[in-house]
Amino acid sequence: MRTAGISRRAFLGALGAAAALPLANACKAIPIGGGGASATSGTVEFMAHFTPVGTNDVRDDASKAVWEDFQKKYPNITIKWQQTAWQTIGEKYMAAWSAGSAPDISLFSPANIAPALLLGSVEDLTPHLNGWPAADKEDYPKVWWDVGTYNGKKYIAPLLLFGALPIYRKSLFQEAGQKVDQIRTWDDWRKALQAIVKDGQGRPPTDPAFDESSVKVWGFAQYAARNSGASIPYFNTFIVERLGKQMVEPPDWKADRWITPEAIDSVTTITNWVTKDRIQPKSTLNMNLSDADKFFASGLCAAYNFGTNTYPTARKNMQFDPMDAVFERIPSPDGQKWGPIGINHWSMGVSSKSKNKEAAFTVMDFWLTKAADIEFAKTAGQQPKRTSSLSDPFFDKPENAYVKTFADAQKEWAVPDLSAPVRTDDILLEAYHSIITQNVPVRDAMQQAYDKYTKLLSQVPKEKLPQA
Amino acid sequence: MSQTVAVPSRVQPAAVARKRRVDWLPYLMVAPTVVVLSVFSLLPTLYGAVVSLYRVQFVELLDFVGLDNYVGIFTNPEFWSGLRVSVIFSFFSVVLTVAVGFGLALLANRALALVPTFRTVVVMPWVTSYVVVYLIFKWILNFDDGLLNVVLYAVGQRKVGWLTDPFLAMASLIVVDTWRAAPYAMILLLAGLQTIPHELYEAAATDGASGWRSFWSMTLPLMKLPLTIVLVLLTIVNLNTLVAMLVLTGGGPGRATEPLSLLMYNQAFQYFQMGPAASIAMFIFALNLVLAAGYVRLLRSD
Repeated sequence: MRTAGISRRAFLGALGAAAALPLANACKAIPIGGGGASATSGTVEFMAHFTPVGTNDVRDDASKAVWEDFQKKYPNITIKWQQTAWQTIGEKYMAAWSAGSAPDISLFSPANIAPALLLGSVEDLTPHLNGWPAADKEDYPKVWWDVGTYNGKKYIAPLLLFGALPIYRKSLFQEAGQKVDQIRTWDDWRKALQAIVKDGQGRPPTDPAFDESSVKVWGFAQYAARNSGASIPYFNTFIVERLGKQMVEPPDWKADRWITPEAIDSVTTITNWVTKDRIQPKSTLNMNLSDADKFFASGLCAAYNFGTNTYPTARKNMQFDPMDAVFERIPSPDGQKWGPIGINHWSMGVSSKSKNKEAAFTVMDFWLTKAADIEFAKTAGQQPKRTSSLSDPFFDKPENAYVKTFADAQKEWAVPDLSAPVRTDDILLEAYHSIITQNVPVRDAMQQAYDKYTKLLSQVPKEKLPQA
Repeated sequence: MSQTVAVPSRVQPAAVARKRRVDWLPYLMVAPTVVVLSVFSLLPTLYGAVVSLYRVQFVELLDFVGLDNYVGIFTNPEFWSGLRVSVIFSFFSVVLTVAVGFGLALLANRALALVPTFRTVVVMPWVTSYVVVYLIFKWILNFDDGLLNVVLYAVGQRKVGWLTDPFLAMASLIVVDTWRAAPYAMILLLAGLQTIPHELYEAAATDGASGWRSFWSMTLPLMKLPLTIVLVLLTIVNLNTLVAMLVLTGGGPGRATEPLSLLMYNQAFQYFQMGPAASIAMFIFALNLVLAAGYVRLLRSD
C-alpha cells in the first residue's frame, strides 16, 4: 500500500520548519527598542501581588477603586493585570524580562530590586520624576526618595511604604501585671513576655518543668520558615542599634559586622527567645508570613511584629477585640530612646524594555496621586506616603490612629530596608535554624552565613555594586 | 541514518524500489510529539548543559568557565548535604510507597463487593493536586493547632514538632509522600497482578499451598518485573521532588529537608547563580539518565 508520497528530505525539511516556527514567533515577540506610543493610549501590563482582580486582600479592594478612577480619566489606556505571589515576583519579572515579555510595570521589594538593577531591567525614573510639580515632590518624605536610589538615579517609586512595629494584646499583659507602654528595653520585652506564657499546669517558661506542648498563648511569634522571604527577626534592628550601621550597606556591601561580638550577642539574644527564654514557639520555624499573621489573629500569641502592609487584612480576622491589640515602639538595648523602625516597601518599577513607557508612567503617576494614597489608607489601612495625607481627619479616629504611631516612629529613627546585591534573608535564616534546631554555636552559624554571603557577593563585579 | 535493504538477486527492480520507499506515516504521527518534546524538553536541557559551563548573570552567558561550576558544586558542603537528603528521602519514600502500594494492590485484586469503591477512594490522594495535599498536611502536622497534635494532646500525649524537628520533618515528608504516591504504585502493580492467571492459585490451593506460600512462591516471583519497574519510576520521580519540600518545610529546619532539587531552585532563584544551578540540574539529569537506562533495560528484558 502506498502510504505517503514525500521524500525523506522533504519530510525532514517540513519537520525542521515546524520546529522553527514557534521559535521564530518567540523571537518576533522580543522588543528591540523603545516604543513611540502616545502618552495617553495603549496597553500597560502591571504585575503585582495585590491587584483589582485579586479577592483575598484589602489592598485588592483599594487597587480596584483606584483602577476604576483611572479608567474614567484615561479611557484610552488599558491595564492588563498579572496577579502573582509576592515571594516570587522578582524572579518572575527578571525571567520575563530576559525573555522579552516583562510587564511594563512590576512591584519590587528590597529583596529583588538590586538583582533587577544588576540585570539592567529597570528604567531610570529620574528624568520623569524631575518633571513632577514641586508641590508633589515636596509632599513625599526623604525616605520615599531614598528608597531605590542608586548612583543618584531613582529606579523605583514606592507604592506602599511601611514599617513594622511590635503589637501587643494589652489585656493579656495587664492580667500578667505588665504595661505594654513600658517595654522600653529588650530585657523588659523578654520579662514581659515571659510573664504572659504559661503551660497547661500554669508553670512559667523559667520553670525547668515547663511543658511547651501545653502552652495556650505564646509570648511572641514571627514567620521564620525557610524559603518564605523571612530572615532573623529584628536582626537588622539590633545591628543598627548596637553598631550604628545596617547589616550590609554600600559601598562595599560586605557582611563583616555579622561576625562581630555585637552581632553574635544579638543573635544569641534573639535565638534565646526560642531556646532558653521560651517566649517564642519552635513552630515559628515552619511559618510563612500568612501563617504567622493568622497565628496572632487567632489569639495564639500576645505580641507580634506587624507591618502596616498586612495588619489591616489580619485585623479583619482577629478572634479578639482588635482595639485590644495596640502598636508600641521598638525596644532598644538601653531604653534611652526607641529602637529604629525599618522601612520596607512595595514599589513600582518600569521595565527598561517597555514598549509603552509613557503610558506606563501615566499609570504609575496615577497610583501615586494623593487620591490614590488616601484610597489605600482608607480602604486598605495602609500608611500614607504623602506628608499631606496624614492631615486627613480619617487618621484621627481611634481605630486608625495606629498610622500616626508609625509616622511618629519614622520621624524619629527610620532605617530603610536596603536591597543588597545578594539576598541576605535566607542565608541568615539558615543560621538561625541551625542554632535553634541543631545547637550549632552562634559564632559558627554566623561565620557560615558570612562565608556564604561573601562568596556570593564576590560573584558580583565590583563596578556593578549598587551605590547609594 | 541511511537505510539499506539487502536485495535477493531474484527480486525484480520495481519491487526493490517499492521496498525502499519509506513509510512516512508513523513518522508524521509522532512528529508533533517529537517537536513539542524537542522545544520544551530537549532544547532547554541542552541549553542547561551549555549554561552549566558558563559564568552567567541571570540568563546572560558571560564567560566560558569550563567545568568550574561543577568543581564549585562538588566542593560545596551544601551539595553533599542536598544529595544526602535526596537519597534518604528517595530511598525510604520509594520503599514505603512500593510496600504500601503493593499491599493496596493485593487488596484491590480481590473479588470482593466493595473493591470498586475501595479502588476509587484509594486513588483520591494521587489525583488531588500536589500543592493542595501538602498544604492540608502542613495544617495537619502543625505544632500548635494541627489536627494530629490536637488529637495527641486530647489523649494526654505531648505535642510533637512534626515539621520543626530535623529528623521528624524528614520522616513526615516521607510519610506524606508515601500517602500521596502509594495509589500510583497500586495502579501499576494491580495491572501486574491481573496478568497472573487465577488458575495458578487454584492449582496451588488444590495442592494444599497456604495463602502465604502462594504469595511467596508465586505472586512475588511473577511480580518481580512490575515491582522493579515501579521502584525505578518512583526513584526517578522522588529524586526530582521539589514541591513537597517547598510547601511543607521550605527545606528546613536548617537544611534538614533541602534536597538537590531545592538547592538548585535556591541557587537559581534566590541567588541568581544560574551556572551552579545548571550544574546541579545536569547532575540530577545524569542520575535520571542512569535510572532511565535501567528502566529501559528492564522493559527490554521483559
